[in-house]
Amino acid sequence: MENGCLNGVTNGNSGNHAASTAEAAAAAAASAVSPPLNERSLETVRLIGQFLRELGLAHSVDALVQESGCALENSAAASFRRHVANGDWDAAEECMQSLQSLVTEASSATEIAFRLCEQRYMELLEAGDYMGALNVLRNRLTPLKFNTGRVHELSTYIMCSDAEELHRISGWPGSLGGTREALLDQLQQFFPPAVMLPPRRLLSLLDEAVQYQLAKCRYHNTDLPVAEVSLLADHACSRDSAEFPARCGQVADQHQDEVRCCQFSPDGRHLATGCKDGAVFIWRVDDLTLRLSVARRYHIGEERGGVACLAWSPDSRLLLCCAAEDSSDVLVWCVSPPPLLPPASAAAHHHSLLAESHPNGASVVVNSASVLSGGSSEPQRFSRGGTPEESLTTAAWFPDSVHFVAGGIRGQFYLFSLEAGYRKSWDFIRVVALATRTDRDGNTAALAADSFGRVRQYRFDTMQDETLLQEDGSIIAMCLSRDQQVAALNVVNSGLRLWDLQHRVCLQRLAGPGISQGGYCLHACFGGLTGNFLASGSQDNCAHVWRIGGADSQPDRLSGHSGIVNSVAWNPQHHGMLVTASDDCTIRVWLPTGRALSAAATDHGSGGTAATDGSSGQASANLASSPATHSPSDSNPDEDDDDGILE
Amino acid sequence: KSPEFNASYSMGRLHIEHMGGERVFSCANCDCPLTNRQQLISTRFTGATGRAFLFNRVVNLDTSELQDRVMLTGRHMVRDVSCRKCKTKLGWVYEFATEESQQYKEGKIILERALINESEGFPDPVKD
Repeated sequence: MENGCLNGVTNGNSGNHAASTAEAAAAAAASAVSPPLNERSLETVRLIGQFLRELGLAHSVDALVQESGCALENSAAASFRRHVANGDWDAAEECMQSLQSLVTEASSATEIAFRLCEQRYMELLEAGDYMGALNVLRNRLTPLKFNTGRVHELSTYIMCSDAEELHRISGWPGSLGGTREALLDQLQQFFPPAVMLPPRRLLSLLDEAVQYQLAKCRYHNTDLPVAEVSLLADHACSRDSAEFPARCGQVADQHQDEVRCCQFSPDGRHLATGCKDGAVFIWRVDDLTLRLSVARRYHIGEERGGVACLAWSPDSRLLLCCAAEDSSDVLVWCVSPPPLLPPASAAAHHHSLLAESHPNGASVVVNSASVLSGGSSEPQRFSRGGTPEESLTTAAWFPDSVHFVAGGIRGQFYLFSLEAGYRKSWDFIRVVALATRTDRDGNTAALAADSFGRVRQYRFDTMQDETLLQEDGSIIAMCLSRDQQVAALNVVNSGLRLWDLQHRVCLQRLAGPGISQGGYCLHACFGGLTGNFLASGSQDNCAHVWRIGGADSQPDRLSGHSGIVNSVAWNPQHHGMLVTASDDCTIRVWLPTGRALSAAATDHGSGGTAATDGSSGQASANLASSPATHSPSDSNPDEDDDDGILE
Repeated sequence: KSPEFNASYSMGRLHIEHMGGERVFSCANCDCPLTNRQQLISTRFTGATGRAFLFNRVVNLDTSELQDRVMLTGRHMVRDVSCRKCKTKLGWVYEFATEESQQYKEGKIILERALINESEGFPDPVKD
């Protein structure tokens, strides 16, 4: 068993090991362990030994070797290590002679010799022994004929007048800077692990195990560093302790009819909700309590069939709204005014489509004559000015917050810009859902899911298009992950499908009986600190939340609504905040359990603003334990309703 | 203030499919797209309002419970179909035909001519 430990699997040459195997056999005979250790145990002993040695616990190492009878390393390698650590360069080179045959590749022997000499040379220079250094340079480094460029560089260091200048010019931290240990770590890569272990092997195995547990953790939504995760038990966040939106912290019932859409602004400070009766509300998110309060109320008119789509511009200033019933125009409100710029640059702004290729979403000052510069509650309308048979029911912004695309299933698919209005059309595409994405060359492409179950990419600048994927059913809704790599499609009778957009493969199928069987427009949203959650509305009155890529593809169900959950929105800045919009005319805010309970508590602590059913204790239980009934006492009286400018 | 919503009215937004095609048929009442000329199998059928068409595939329909009906061509098991959006009854779908010569109709849909509109569509420009 000793042979298995020391020779490893890479070479069977036993000639040079005669000495070491003999001594190993002797050690084995002296071992106190019975029955003898198997291969795995021996390797573990070696890892532990390395760990202890790296900590500096030399006595423990000796005791370990003694008691287990397992040498930590090939003895020649151990001597080599000792010599290098002590700076006995000649002895180290002698050791290399016997280790020569063990290197993984024969050519590495030269490089090892080179590095040993390099370290020796630098140390001699540092100590001021110029003659010795020159000797090494001429008689040892140069004859190797290896990396002559480096040799030239080394020869220039002779000009340094002292150690401090040497350190500065060469970037070499000095013999006291752990360079000998670093050298050993580098040299290890030339040997098979049976001869010389990779540095910190036990710690890197433990880190890998922790990372695996974190990847499987169902509710993990924090950026806990790997090094801080306890090893004592498998890591698994509990639903209530994690930063996972597990409990309802607020029920807001200001809407009068079915709430169809909800979207957070990219800066996480506002929420827009759209209703079947045409109302669009803007809610402000309180930074500390994450409470929603109504800030603006817009209406798009009753006859438009309700709000179908809401889209915030990437700079969080503008809100775009599409109506459900065959509307030939889309509406854009300016929710926040543009940042102030000096007059010269404001006047100079004029974009041509081809000139703008900045996917970083830089904020743009719009011509101040346009209604979009003020905080007016009148929206600007965008249409092609064509027939009333046109239908624009979905839209998506470009990263510059100036251009956007809009389309519908009657075959309209248009590019608009805020200043010039209608710009371009792509004909005969029946658009179901839209998104935008940065293409390979850095420009923006529009992604459209169409009525034939395809998702295709359209470049309005080059007028080139290509099909990315083809579904085998009708696509209801589409949303992209934050990194634009994954698309989640809601497909009729099939549930949610996750597609990798770059490789064009289906990654995962998330089934949910309430998701797509009835053919309702249910929207989904990615969220979480690393975008690894997907939440979706559902017909069973719950929101479903999946951990993407997790082993368990069963969703978490957030129940409490008494009607179909049409849409969900995950706050892009406050990663534990999820909002659901439902046919029961309410929106609910879901927060991590701790926050949800304290949100309910402060509600009553502040007195009069609490629920009005008379018993405050009861009301806090209502909010925290997510009841199924919708009662008027759940109203949210601390709304404030200003038409002023939102900061 | 809390509205009384009846489960059957509280619907959420219905997803409307569209089959495309160069000649599109849609509901005469609400213009919901249903099918196209390519799906048309026969025009020689008769419904309650007169002429009716037999289609291979139609979308955006709700179906009723199974019914036993005797027609000119024999006894069939059918379901009534109606427009998903406005609930107008539009025709029926054949589930089962007792006579062998009529079995070709199984799974196909009858839409009454007076209850649908035909309009101009466009071909799918995507070639790949």
